Amino acid sequence: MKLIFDNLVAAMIGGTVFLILLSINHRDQLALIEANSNYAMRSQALDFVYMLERDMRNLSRVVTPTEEDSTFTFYAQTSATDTTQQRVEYRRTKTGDRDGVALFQILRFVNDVYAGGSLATITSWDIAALNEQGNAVLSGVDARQIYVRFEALPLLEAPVQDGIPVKDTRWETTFRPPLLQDKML
Amino acid sequence: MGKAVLIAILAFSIGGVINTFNTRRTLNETENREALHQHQVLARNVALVGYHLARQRLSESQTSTTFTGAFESGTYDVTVEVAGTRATVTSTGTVLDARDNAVTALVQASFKTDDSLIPEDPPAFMQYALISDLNLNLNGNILGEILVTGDERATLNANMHTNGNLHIDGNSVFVAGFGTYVGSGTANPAKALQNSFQPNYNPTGESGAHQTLAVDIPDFDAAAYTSRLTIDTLTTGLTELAGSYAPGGTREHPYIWYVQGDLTATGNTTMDGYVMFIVEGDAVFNGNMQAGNSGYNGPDESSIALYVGGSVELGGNTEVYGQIFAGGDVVFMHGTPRVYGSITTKGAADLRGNPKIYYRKASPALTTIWEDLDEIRWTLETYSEW
Repeated sequence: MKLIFDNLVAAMIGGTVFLILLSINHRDQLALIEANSNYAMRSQALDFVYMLERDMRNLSRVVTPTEEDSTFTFYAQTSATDTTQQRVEYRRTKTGDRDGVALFQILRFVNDVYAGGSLATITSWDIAALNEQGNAVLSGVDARQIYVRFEALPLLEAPVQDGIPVKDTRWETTFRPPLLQDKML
Repeated sequence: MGKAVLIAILAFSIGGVINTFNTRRTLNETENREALHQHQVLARNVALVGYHLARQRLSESQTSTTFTGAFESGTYDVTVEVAGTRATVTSTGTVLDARDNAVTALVQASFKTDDSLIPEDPPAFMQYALISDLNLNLNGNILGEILVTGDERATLNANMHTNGNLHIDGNSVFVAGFGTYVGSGTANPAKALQNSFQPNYNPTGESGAHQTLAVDIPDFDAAAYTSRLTIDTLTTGLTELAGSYAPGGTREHPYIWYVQGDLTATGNTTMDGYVMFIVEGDAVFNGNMQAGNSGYNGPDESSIALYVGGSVELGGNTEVYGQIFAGGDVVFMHGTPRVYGSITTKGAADLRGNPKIYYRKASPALTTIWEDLDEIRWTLETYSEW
């Protein structure tokens, strides 16, 4: 009888410990997923920012002063060895929803050929040509600056736990491409 | 049961360590990429400093150049290359990251100008067969003829001018152009003053010799000239030319030969190319100095410039091709020296014996050292960062 009781107590204690370990491991897994997802988001956002910076600095002419049919079009030099100005498009395409929020990806096309893009969890995307005073322009020829802003969520959807906030990333700047300024030396 | 729990604890612990390790590695990779981006921003800032300095230099001097410098913790290497009416600027910025690895950024730009860097005409003081700031004496069997061929020949004159006094001795002077002077014009016999000058082109019927306003002739300034040029060859002391030379050079990019001393040409010297000599001392031509530019098919003009700080002496039966500027006097020695081009002297010109000047227009491509280049405006044509 005592043996049965001892075994029963040991099983209960062991089961409790096992459940505690399981719970800790589960929380650790969630934190791990969120952390990795967050780092991946930062890393991919950085790649996208790098591409944006290069395009905006090498931009020579704006075709659409703001998005038209979810597409922002301009001309830029896309090769260090070829000064030909290529037609570049940023096409915003929907990739899904998360918690009722639409997710997008910004796809980059050079002369209608896919050439990179953003992470697929963009939740907000603004790109617009501005004049010297920072006001929106109606025609690309009046463009002197390019305003860009985006927000993005982590790539993987991790369940939100108490005390474990799932952060998004935001990035915003205004470029002054040299070829849109007064070109006289 | 106890063993099972211990095994479970061990398994979960190992799993936790692995998870922590993976997370830390991901974090490090992300932070490394962000750090790299920050260094790229720093390298770009350094490259932009070099680029803006290049723009400044280009606006001040339309010549090719390279330079390096430092900004904050980085360095920049800049190349400015001017070719005709275009200029390219390449600026590379370099910074070292925490592991002393070089992170670079490249700024490339090209500029163009609608203003030709080569003016249509040379300055006024380079538009005469012979012009002197001091007195001009013509004494001998002197010929001033026009070398230029083609349609332009009909409207050209081999003019001679002095900002001092003009004097002619004898009746053996013939100049196919006007003779103008600021001081006095005299001749012996008196009629030789007018008879000596028979303009080739004189639609208004002006008298061949007459008084006029002074033509400003600048002082010779080798330092100022060379600061605006890229020197291809520098020789010091006595530089003696003899034999054949093919230094090359084009109308857009003349070959620049800077002589810090005297220049002499002995024997038969031939010079194939578009060349500018800048000579600090004197120049003596005891042999022929023939010139041409085998690769050039442009206007009929001189392709050799001889800019001399001191005096120019032409002796014997020498033939000298080129546009000559002398800071001192120009002296024609005995014999029959012939100049195919033009002569400008800040000093006096004394022509004796049988000198011949076959006037050929001075090349404006070789007189840019006297041009005011402030008016040249560059326009940014291409710009990119990498």
